[in-house]
Amino acid sequence: MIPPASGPPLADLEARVRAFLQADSPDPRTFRELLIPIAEVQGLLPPGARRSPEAVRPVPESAFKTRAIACFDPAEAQAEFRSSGTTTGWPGRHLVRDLSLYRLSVLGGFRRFVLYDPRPGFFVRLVPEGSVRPHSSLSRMIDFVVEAFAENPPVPVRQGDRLDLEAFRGACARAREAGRPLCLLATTLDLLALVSGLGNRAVPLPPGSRVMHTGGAKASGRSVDRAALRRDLERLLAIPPDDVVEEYGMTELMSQAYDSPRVVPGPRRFVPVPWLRTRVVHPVSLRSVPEGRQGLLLHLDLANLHTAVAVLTGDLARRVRDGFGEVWRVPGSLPRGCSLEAAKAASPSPGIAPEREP
Amino acid sequence: MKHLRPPALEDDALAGSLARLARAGQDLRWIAPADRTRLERSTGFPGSHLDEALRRAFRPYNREACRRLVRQARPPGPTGGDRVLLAILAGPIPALATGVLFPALAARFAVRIRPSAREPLFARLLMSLVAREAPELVPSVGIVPLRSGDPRLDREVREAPVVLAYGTDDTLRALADLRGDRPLLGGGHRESLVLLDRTSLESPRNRRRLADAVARDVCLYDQGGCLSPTLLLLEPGPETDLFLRDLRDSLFRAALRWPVAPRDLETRGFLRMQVEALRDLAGQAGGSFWTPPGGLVPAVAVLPPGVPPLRPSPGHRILQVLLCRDASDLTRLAPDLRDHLQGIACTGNPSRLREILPGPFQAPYLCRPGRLQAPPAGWPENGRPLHLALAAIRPRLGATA
Repeated sequence: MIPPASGPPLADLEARVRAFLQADSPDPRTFRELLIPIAEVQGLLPPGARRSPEAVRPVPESAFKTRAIACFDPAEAQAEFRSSGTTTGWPGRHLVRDLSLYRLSVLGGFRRFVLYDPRPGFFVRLVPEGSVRPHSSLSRMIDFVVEAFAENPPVPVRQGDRLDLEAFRGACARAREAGRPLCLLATTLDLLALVSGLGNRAVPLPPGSRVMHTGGAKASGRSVDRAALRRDLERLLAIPPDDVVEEYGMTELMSQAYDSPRVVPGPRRFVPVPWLRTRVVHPVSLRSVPEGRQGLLLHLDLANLHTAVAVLTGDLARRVRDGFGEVWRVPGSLPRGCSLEAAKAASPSPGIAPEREP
Repeated sequence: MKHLRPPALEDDALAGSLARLARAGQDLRWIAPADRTRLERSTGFPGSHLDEALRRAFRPYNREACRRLVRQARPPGPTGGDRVLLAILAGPIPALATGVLFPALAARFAVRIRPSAREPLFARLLMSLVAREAPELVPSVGIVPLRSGDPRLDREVREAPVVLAYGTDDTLRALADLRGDRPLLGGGHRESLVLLDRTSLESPRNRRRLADAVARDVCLYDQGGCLSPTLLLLEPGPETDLFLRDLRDSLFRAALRWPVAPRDLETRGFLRMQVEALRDLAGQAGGSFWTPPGGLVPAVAVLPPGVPPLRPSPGHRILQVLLCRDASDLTRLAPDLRDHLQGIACTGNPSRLREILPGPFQAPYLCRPGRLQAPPAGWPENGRPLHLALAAIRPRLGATA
């Protein structure tokens, strides 16, 4: 547990963080004004250090595996999100003091980067519900999204470790009949499984339909050819590559970054929500690398108010303009990521539910 | 593939050939400048580090040692074509290749070396040295230049009379499956550690000497060998704090003395994560952490009581220190070292460890600090000297190389 240090009480800071998360155009200066006192309270800014974001000492993601990272009594946590940790049996634990803050962060990011016009009328989730996976931050995220934005009940396409292709086709048909775009929410590995399951039988979706997937290359060390995946989604679902949105998130963070070409034009890259700043840092100096260079990802997440506002990850990436791209895990780090949850469904392919007779 | 046959020499002649080869190997002029540059790159040990690694690869095999190996491994009868060893090497340390070649030839086995994919050059250079300095041994040595996954290598592994392999536990399991009931020697992942008792740290001179010795064992080969100490067990006390200060200085000096090639981004990223993980663990009460200014390694992490060490150890000159009252605490502090220990360097009487530690925590090689990276010819790697293990293998009638 991180011992509370000197500084303003977290409750005061929380009100300001919530306001920042809800602002339509948050003032970038406010980020710094919040970051420094939060880091002080969390003990991440050593006494006497410069009061600058660069001086904040990040918590390594491994610390979430070895101890309780919390500025509150862990017994008061409303949720405990866990990273996979399948190889060691030692998962990372993110104790969530207040789920409403996570909800605020999730919905704010999703609204910005995925809910561009025309707004989808149907949602299909391949990610299991939070009731099935209570320790999955992704499941909880999708729960929040669906509750907040779906006009119709989401179609249950997932059945345990399997995808029900017939149910998926039914949902697509309903969206076509209604002429409303459909939003497909999935892990990257689930999408691969879906593509494999559909084979050559296309189910074109109405214009404006989109996909949001997550997990990508972090999944079990398996390399994902994103361009090929986008081509397959265009061929099978008639979803143009620009409507294939990728989300970057991790159990240890309350906020996300998105690769969303319709919202952020230019080279494909993950751009964080305004209350998350991601630095691509040199592994030795921990200084930000120049544009185009690669380094470790260091996240400064104001929504991690109750845990660690600065997290150093084992993700390597290239700095691209105001974001980052080409994310991969440091070799030797354990394969991880939300997509691991879907590994059983994606490989071997018999995880796909057999076709029912028409 | 070249057909090999075991050395057909009398004892004295064989020992003489081997000793001559080792002597020539220690005169580093045998490697042409261009090859040396390539070897520095492929091993990752530049300059003085490569010099040290090469000398240590040949040094144990003096005339006396070669005579001993040949005598101890003398086969009971005439040798046949089935005395061929396929050695699958892992890692960039030259001593791994010589550590197979000399004992195997001494045991009158022909040797086919399949070098590690990461460092394939030294084994080839070693073959050229044999051709130049001991041509009578050329019919008994060869290289298997096949990559992992090549079905021809699988066939070699299946059909070789004897296989010796190093690698991960998973690799060894896969090889065992291929071999069936045919002889397979070697071992999977192994680590080493150092145990220092408090009395040995009382005198400042001794402390400095021991610090230099531990630093040498850690820094040679970039802590990448099975005899590289990854853990240091110390008794708590004021002498220990003074020793750790000396150790930091010694590690810094040793790292300068034996440099390593610039690390790539992924290795630096890995090291940063390991360093931060240890800094975080050691930051709790009772722990401490040190890295040199502006660098990630060498690093020393003194772990607080009750905090387990990072496993597997990160390597790359990151030393984890555990404070304990007694060597027997090892079983509690690092339980997953069970069946994975290769060497223990200690002060005091090493044989007491045989009484204190339970079997799975016994290391085949016990020595003084500073001698971990200098095992003698015929040391009991993975529990048994290679030349004796080979000598004990009974020939299969009718088998061919």
